[in-house]
Amino acid sequence: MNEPRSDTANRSTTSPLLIAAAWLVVVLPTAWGLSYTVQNALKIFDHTPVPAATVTPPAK
Amino acid sequence: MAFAFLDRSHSIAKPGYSRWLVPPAALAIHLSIGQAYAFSVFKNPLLALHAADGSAWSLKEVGYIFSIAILFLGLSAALFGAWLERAGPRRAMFYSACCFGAGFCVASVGASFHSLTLIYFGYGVLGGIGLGLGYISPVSTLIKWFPDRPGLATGLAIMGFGGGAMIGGPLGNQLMAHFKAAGQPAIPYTWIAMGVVYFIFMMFGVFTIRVPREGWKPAGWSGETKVSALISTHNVDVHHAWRTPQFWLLWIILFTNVTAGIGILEQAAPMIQDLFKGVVSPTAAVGFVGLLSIFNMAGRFFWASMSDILGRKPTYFIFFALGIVLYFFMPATRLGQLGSVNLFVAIAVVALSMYGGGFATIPAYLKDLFGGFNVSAIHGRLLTAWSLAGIVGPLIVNAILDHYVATHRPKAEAYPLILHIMCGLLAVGFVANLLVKPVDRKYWMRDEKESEPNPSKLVASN
Repeated sequence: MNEPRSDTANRSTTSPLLIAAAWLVVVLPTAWGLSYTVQNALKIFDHTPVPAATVTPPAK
Repeated sequence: MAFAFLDRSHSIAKPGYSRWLVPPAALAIHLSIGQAYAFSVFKNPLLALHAADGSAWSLKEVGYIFSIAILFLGLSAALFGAWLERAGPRRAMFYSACCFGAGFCVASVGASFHSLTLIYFGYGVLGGIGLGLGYISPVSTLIKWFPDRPGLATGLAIMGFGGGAMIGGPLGNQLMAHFKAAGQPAIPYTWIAMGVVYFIFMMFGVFTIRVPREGWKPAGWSGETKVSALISTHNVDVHHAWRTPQFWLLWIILFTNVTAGIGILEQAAPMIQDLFKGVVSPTAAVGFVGLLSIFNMAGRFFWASMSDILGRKPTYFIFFALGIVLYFFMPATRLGQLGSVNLFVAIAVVALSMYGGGFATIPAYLKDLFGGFNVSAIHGRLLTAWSLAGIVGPLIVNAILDHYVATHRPKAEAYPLILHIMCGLLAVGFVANLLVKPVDRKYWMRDEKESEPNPSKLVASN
């Protein structure tokens, strides 16, 4: 902890591969979840006619 | 203290540590605890569970599980925020992972024995404490690592909370399907599996997180922040911050923004089908909910990052001014008036992006006004606004809908009233935001030492 607090000392020496790996750990599950959500979201463009039986019934 | 490796002093970054390792650590926590927003996938399977005597739970009883979790999120964030500042983010994240993982396991036992009390205690109380600790734990650390872009940094983490539901939903569904197909009890086994998986994933955050050493600043950054009366160079400790008018104005801002957003989120699928009866199928309504989730998540990152450029007050000015217009005109898109599904969806997704943006920009707003010293603790206390909004929002929506149904009036006619009430709430938030002024100097801390917080040495000058 006695390093000079210069701009050079604050420069990162962490391997870019390590940073990429850390990001992959969180990006991969997010991408997996996002793909499911996007597939669901695309159903908004579902234009099949709504049969009378599937129209939301009045709440109890 | 037990587990010394969790201490703040053991998590100080060595020279050369890249600050870009910190957001993944924060995201690992927020992506996990964001699962809470996907709790609805368990509602129907829980309703289908029967005790030995054949009894089953009601929708209302099952609904309380999520409410208890959100209540304890707010309470624990408010209670443990000051402790977190002393103990450091690593210990807080570790305890968060323990509570969140253990919560699933206790709830699993509750599902096995058909004990709702155990599920309330496990998922609601224990899990809720895990949510609260996890939600606030990376905030001040991120702000210290990214003093040049605090909005972007906290926006990234809090975006993870929105994204967590996108992982938790399909994960829960797939695990339940897997265990059901294998002839095993679906909910108990799924919850055990999720508890273990999330605990391990959160441990990645625990061991990756680092706090910057004293005097650290980003390479090439002069240390000068944007010049603005609302960006303080002084710190206010949590015990004094919550006595300032600025804290309560931000509390109102968060409360109104969240309540309005919940007004749409709470009823998204039924609302679009009621407003466009016979035009929007249940499948398309599910798609609408998915679209809202994406914009809720993206808005957290987009608006929080934009706030670094625009400033926090102007960003909330946009949320409230544009929000009032959008909520006011949203009912006019329904059948019988403009009759445009596309316009309704476009308005709703922009409104929901600002709901997410409101969550993600608030830590940077707090940092601007109160400094970075106690920002996690102050943020924790502010999250009580979320807990209350989580109760008030659905209460307004359901009470109005129930009234319309009870008086045999079409539900579609209830939504304009609901959305216009939300307009009124946003107007209150708009005024609160306009009233935000710099914190009076009597609340500033005299002796400032940001990197090594020791509140006992610091006294406010009042």
